[in-house]
Amino acid sequence: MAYLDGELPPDLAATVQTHIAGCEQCRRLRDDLRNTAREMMSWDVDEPPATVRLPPAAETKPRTRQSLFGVLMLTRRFQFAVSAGFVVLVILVAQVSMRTGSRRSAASSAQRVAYGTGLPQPPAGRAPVGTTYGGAPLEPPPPAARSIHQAPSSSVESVKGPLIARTASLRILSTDFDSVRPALDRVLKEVGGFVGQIDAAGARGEPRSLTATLRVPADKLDTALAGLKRLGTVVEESQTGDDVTEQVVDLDARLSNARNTEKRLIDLLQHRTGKVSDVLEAEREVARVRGEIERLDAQRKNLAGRVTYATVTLQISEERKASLDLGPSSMSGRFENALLDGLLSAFGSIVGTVLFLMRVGPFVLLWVLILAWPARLVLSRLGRRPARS
Amino acid sequence: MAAARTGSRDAFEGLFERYRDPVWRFFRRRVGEPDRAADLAQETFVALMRGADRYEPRGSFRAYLFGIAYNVLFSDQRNVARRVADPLDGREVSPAADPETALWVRQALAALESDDREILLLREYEQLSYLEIAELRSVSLNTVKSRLFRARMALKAALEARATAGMGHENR
Repeated sequence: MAYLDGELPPDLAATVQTHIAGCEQCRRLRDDLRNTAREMMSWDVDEPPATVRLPPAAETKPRTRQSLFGVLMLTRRFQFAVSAGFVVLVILVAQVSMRTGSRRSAASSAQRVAYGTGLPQPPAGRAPVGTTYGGAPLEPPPPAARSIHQAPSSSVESVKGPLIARTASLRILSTDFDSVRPALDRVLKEVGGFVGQIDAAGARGEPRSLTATLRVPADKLDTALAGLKRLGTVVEESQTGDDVTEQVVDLDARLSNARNTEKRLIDLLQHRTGKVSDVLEAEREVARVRGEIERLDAQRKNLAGRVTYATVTLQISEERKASLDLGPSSMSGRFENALLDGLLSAFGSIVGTVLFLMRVGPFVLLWVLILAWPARLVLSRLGRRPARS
Repeated sequence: MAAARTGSRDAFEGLFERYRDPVWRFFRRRVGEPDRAADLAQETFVALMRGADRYEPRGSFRAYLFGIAYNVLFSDQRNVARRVADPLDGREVSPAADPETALWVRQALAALESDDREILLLREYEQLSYLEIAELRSVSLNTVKSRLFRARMALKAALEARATAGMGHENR
């Protein structure tokens, strides 16, 4: 057959020709195949129409490459893969949104630790004015403390030595969070301090935290800090001392002047006579000075409180341990819990997916119906390019 | 084709004139509708010229050209979701001198295995060499030979059967 098709090398073709000449069977086969080839030629086709012509130059310019994505989108397999991937993505998003929503509701419904019922009252007579506890005026401070609580004299010499408003902050990691609150109360009781503000958060099974602003006597600050550090591992600590001496001296001077002014005005009203307008003017001035005195006095007392009582900002976080999460210790109990959790999770995922599809389905269906026909038109046109001449 | 790579219009014209009929006949024998065959032939030349700058003379140009033609044919069949080309499509008007024999040939070809039929068509009508067919169909030379032999023997048997049947009718 290769001989008939002219595919043999010349020497081999000559050999075959010689053989055929002497072999009746091969000769017959050769003739049959030639007849077959001749009969095949009877199937001719018409001449090409005029529409098959040399394409114009503009049409033969290299086409800008269709984006890979555009080419791929023409294949049905890729379209199916994209659709399947989209469905899987929708289901995953539904799962994640379900779980996030359940965690948030659990966290928000988790009870804040009821620390409010156990808040210690500040030591009687020790609370500075301006705190939430208000209370009786300060007792005369011990001799070691700075003396700024008494009525200021007209001289600034009553202020002896620098006045420091101390602040400290501690961040602690605790492994036994349940004992933090009682231990904190003990420390405060020992040093005569009190809680200015306290905030706790976290549910069981999740890391808990406590943030508190404590007020402790300035001379007991170090003792208080030492006690607080025993509550756990100190992660961060800082202390500052704000010198408020100048502010206090200035306040004292202004108060002294204001009081003197008030005294003179009152004397003027009592012993001098004059026009009614002058009297009214004097009374207005007395009221203004009185207000000024009250304001300055409040500032002074606030500074006094800051100096007398140091401010400690405490932040305690629970060190997370997996074992904190409660559960039955027996293996069978754990298996049972795991199985139930799994079934609930599976059921929840089905429900969540159905709900998600019910929410999103109508919208997607509407736009698929709207866009299906134009999309088919575009895709079919893309498939038929290059355009017919 | 080397000249056509540089964008020579004359080179394109020469290629077109030489291969216009073979490409047209290639599609005409594989596609039922003449209009569609004409479109596909035109698409083939457009694709050839658009890709001229990327052409690399590795093998036979005819194999390259008919390779483009096959791609155009398969792409058309995929996009339009038509059945595989049916040579028995009666809408074709054959100008053959012996239309009855032509019909028998088409019927016999339709009865062959598709791969065997394609190789036979490429050999007999497109006049491709064994090597060109092997390159185009991505098969070995021996596969081309064996399939060609099988196809020709099957076609021969079909035509002999037809000849025998015809003689039987005449003897009645």
